Amino acid sequence: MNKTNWKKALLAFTMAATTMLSAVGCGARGTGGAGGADNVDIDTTKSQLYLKYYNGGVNRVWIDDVISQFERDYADVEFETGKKGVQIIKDFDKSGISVSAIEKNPNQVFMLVGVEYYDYASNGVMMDISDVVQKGAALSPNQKEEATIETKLRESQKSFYQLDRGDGKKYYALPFFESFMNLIYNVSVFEDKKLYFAQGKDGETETWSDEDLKSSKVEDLFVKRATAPRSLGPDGKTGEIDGVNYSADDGLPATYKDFQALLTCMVRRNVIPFIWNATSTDYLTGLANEAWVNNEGAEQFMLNMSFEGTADNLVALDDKGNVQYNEDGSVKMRDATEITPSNAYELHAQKGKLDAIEFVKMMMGSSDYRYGESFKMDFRATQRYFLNGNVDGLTDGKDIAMMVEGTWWNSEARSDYASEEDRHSEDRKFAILPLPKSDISKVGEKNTKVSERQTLIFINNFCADYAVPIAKEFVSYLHSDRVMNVFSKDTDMLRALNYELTEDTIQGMSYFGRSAYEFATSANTDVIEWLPTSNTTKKNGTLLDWASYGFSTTAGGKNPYLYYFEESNAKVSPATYFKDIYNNYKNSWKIS
Amino acid sequence: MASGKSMSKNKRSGQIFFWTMVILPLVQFCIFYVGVNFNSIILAFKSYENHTGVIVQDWVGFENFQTILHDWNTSLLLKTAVKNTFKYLAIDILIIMPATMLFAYYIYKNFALSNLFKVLIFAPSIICIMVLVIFFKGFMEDAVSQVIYKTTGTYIESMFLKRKYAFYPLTIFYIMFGFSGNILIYLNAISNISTSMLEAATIDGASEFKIFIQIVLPSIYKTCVSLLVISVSAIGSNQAYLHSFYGSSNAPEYARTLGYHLFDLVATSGVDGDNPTQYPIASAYGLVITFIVAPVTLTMRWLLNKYGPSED
Repeated sequence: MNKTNWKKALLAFTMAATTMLSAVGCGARGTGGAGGADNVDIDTTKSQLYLKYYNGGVNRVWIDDVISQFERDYADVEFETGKKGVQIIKDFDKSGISVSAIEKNPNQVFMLVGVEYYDYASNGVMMDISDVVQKGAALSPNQKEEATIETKLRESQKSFYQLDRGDGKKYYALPFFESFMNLIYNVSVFEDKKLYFAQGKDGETETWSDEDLKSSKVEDLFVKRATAPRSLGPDGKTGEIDGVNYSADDGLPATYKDFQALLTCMVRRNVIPFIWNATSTDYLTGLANEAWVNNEGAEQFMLNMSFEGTADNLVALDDKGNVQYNEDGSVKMRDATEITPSNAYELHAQKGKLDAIEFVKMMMGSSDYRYGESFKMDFRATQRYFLNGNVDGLTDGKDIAMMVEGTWWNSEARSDYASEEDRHSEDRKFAILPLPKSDISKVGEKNTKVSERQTLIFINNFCADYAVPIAKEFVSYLHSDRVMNVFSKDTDMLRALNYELTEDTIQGMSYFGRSAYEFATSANTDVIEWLPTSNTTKKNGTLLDWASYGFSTTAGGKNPYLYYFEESNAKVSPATYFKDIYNNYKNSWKIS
Repeated sequence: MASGKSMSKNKRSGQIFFWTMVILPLVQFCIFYVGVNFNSIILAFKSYENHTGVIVQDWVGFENFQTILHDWNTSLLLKTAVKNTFKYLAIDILIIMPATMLFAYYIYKNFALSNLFKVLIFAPSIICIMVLVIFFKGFMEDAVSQVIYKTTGTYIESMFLKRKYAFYPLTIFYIMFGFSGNILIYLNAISNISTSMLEAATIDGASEFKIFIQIVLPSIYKTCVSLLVISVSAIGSNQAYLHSFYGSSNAPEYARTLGYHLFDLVATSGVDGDNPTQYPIASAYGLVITFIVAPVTLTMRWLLNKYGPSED
């Protein structure tokens, strides 16, 4: 071979090797690899169903139980000729899968977090499961629930999940779990440190100045004994009225002024009010969204999800976006305003948002209010410190009263408990703090919670024919009240559907799970979804990204807590920050 | 005759072998380079919608470019990103490049601890970046914070989430990593300089500094130009490791670069992120950046080659 041939051969080999290597790389990504699949032997006497499950904070204990039960319930069913029963092959890890990888992925049923429904559905990788949704959930091979799964969906969910891909409206996925962001409070700390407002102290702080609220005067507001009668809390009622229990929030801060007094009292009593994490700062944005939603109420807030309707809670602004005030110093409100896509930026003048900023500013009011490492820690460390910080000597002898976390935290943090018994112990008392109202006139209004993250269950549209009936049966099975109870009992969480928990489930949950369930399903709480409901908002989905929609400024910041973390902004009034957000949207409004 | 036949046979089988091996890479090049880039360019003039469950792509002319102009006029984010991008470019050119050259020369000359330096400086290139980022974050947030607290009494709650401090650790990390990436290239370039020339200069009594400036630098000038050209041409995609430090879309706006901004645009597309509805805008951004950067890069290369020092 001469020199030129050698060169040619070398070039050819190099190119071929490079191609092969990249092809191998593509292949591994393309198939998704089923990398997390449990290493099990295939039982050739049974039909196999391949399941991909996002094994994050929710944990896998419940789904392992459900799979075992499903395999037992369907042990005698022939889905394929010559085979009896089902073997579910588990691919459980903390990862998602790209749309392009689904076709070649061996998994047939997917249970994922942070999935863009429209992207997956429009690419045809999700199977039409309308027949599953519009029938009762499977209880066993021959038994279904009477009510259809569709009746368990909220109206906003029906609007979001039904798509018309040219052959009528169809469902291609179902929502998985509820994902609120919360202030989780340590009930034991509240009891031990007597941090409950005493009976008769309702509304007492309304006339107090800021100096009063940060002085020793606050000590008089709180109970002297842990068991002493407490104030009415943000719902303004106590006891059972018309079948609704209003006692759960007794003694908790009803208004922002109460909340400020509570923070002062906590610091005085050597308690750290808050802890949060720095690796997922969007948890903080989520909490600000919750404050906005809670002050705005479900109906008015949902205008943001449609850009259509009448807004009757908008702050009056001058032409520069400055907040206008009445003579008595209260914020001036506008007359009812018709909202259309062209002027929907006006929704950024909702009073609830101004109130939310005030709440954020209060929480950020002093570095004493947060655990010193909060802006350095990851979410698992945060959970550990909140649960065991004082006992383990991590917090200099101080208890931490509240943590910013999602509904999944107690399931995610299970390894931080000594045991499952410890997690379920009555000594481990945690609950969702109902966010206080902006002022006393709002006390008694309902709590509103918003579920932000898209978590989906769907079937691979490229699922082998033999597996389609098994996959549909399994998805149906997952949506029976019984199985959803299994989910709630183990995880302390709720599926994002309407269903009742049985007494057995409630008793089997931890204190946190029970209180979260009572809170979320109370007649005094509205639960909404952060999902676009009109064609315009669906088309402009990126604008509605929950992590940026609420608090984006002209400079580009979108997290109100990080905004007030900056020393240069510490003195910026909520009204000024509010004006910046409003002007940002007004000046850049562009709807396609 | 027989020999001629045999040669022709050999040539034919050589051709078959060559094309068999080359066809696949060529097809791959056509699809994954030409096709992808062509599609990217086309996408900049299209819209992409899927909210009905069906993908709809329409020609929208220059609408995506108008959106970029609109963003530029109405938000500071883009301007901040451009400013930061140039800040990192300046760091590349004014700090990383000269320092790397000096270290490469130091190692080449086998001065004290040069082998240790070689390992230490090159280590970041072979260790997973996430490991380094976690290590570095811990070092800054714990150790450095503690030192500052003990010496000045100032407690820094976060090195990475406060505007006042964030630039420093990010820049230190950027320099550390920039160092390691290029040092082997410079070392290799310096190794190709004739040793006799260097020895002659030493015998003539030239100082190390003089040798570096008058012999080494002109000799490796082509390498410098190449690396400079690469730095400038990559400004649109330089994320400055922000994704490794902050993850998707969590980097504070004051720290963002154009590369991270583009990444964020794609990563946060849709209600919950990762929906291609924003890809056309991202493609348009790519074209705009190319239109600005390409002529600058080519002109710069031409100027540097024309007016730079000569080995002669």
